[in-house]
Amino acid sequence: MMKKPAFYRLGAVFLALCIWQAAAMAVGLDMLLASPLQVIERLISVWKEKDFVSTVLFSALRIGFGFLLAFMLGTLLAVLAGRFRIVENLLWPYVVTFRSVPVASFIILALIWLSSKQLTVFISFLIAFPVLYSNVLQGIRTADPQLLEMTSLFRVPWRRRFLYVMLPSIRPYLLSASSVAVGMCWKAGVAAEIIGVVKGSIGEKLYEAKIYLQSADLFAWTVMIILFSVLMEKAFLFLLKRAFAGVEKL
Amino acid sequence: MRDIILRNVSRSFDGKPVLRHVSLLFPAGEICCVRGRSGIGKTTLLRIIAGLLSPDEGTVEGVPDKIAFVFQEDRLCEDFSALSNIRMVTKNRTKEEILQHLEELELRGEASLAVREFSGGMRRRVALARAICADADLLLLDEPFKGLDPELRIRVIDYVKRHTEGKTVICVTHEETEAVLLGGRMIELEDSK
Repeated sequence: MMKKPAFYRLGAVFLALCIWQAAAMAVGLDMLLASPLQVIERLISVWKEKDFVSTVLFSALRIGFGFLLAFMLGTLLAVLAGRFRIVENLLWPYVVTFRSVPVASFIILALIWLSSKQLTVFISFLIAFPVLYSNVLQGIRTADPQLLEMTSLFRVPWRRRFLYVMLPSIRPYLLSASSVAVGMCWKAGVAAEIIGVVKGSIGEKLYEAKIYLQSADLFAWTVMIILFSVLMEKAFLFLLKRAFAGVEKL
Repeated sequence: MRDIILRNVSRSFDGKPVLRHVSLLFPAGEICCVRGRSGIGKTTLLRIIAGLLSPDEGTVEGVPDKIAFVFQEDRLCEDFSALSNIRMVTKNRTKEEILQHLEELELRGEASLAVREFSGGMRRRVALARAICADADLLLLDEPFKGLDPELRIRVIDYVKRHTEGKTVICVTHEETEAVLLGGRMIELEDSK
């Protein structure tokens, strides 16, 4: 039997779709506001297009690579910063800059420095890095002081101390940061592709939708972005949880 | 290995004296049981010997480099198995050796379970096995048999005695019977006021 909150949520989604349909009918112009039915039709047809797979792969691989780069470097540097205060101090200006400067400024800057194909990787990395770095560092900082005292007394080598005491403390921070960062990478990555009009990317499809006033295309590709973002997030979290479970069985 | 000598050790917390001018000698390679009422400073004494606390006054001599400690709070890594918790502190022990220790403590069947699933008594035994397997020269035991039922307690005390021969053991306990069963010297901490 369906649980009540799920039932209410489905009802709310249905109501929202009805409002959208009514708004589309009121506007009366497909190019300005496509109806949900038109978007569904476009969703069915869009994946049959011959460049669909290559377009999705182009963006997904670059966004995924940017995220993985941020994941590895962010985690590694946070571990170093957790061990050596000087590393944290040296990284502080970069982390603050990455976190506070508007992504559009970085996109423009990256367009000057890099080729448009490298843009998505760079922006995804830039957006995810401070999130992952800060969270992993926070996880290290919140490691149980009693366990740290115990490992210090028993003269447990640093590698084992990290594995047994710090990693369990990092786990929830890394999982939630990864979940947030994947979504942020997709948003910023596609935004960069739109601004840079990166050929063969999802961003280019959105840009074309804007140029040719194809709102059904815009909505259909937006749904695709959400779908791939969720898929990437779920797949990555699944692998990460498996990796943590493997460590606990050591 | 040298005797551990405390000379005129004092320690207070927030201006409240816990230990005042304590002088004690723990002979090398012997078991000493420290008894005294709650709050008299038994744990503080162990922490000062371990170097986890500095005395306000006085000196501690003869403490070896390799120390093992059974803390009051177990201090186990919750997500890891009993085997992993012990393996973490050992250098040269094989898996079979550690399992043998767990067998003696009646925990072999649970060796690969995460310790977060363990009862208080089981956790205590893992903490004890960890301290024993650390191959330290000095063992500091803070109420190590807490939470064990009377029959099991006798067997665990026997385990500790068998595996600490020739090592310096300082055991804090409330129970006179535990101190008697463990043998060795008995030190009664009295109110320093």
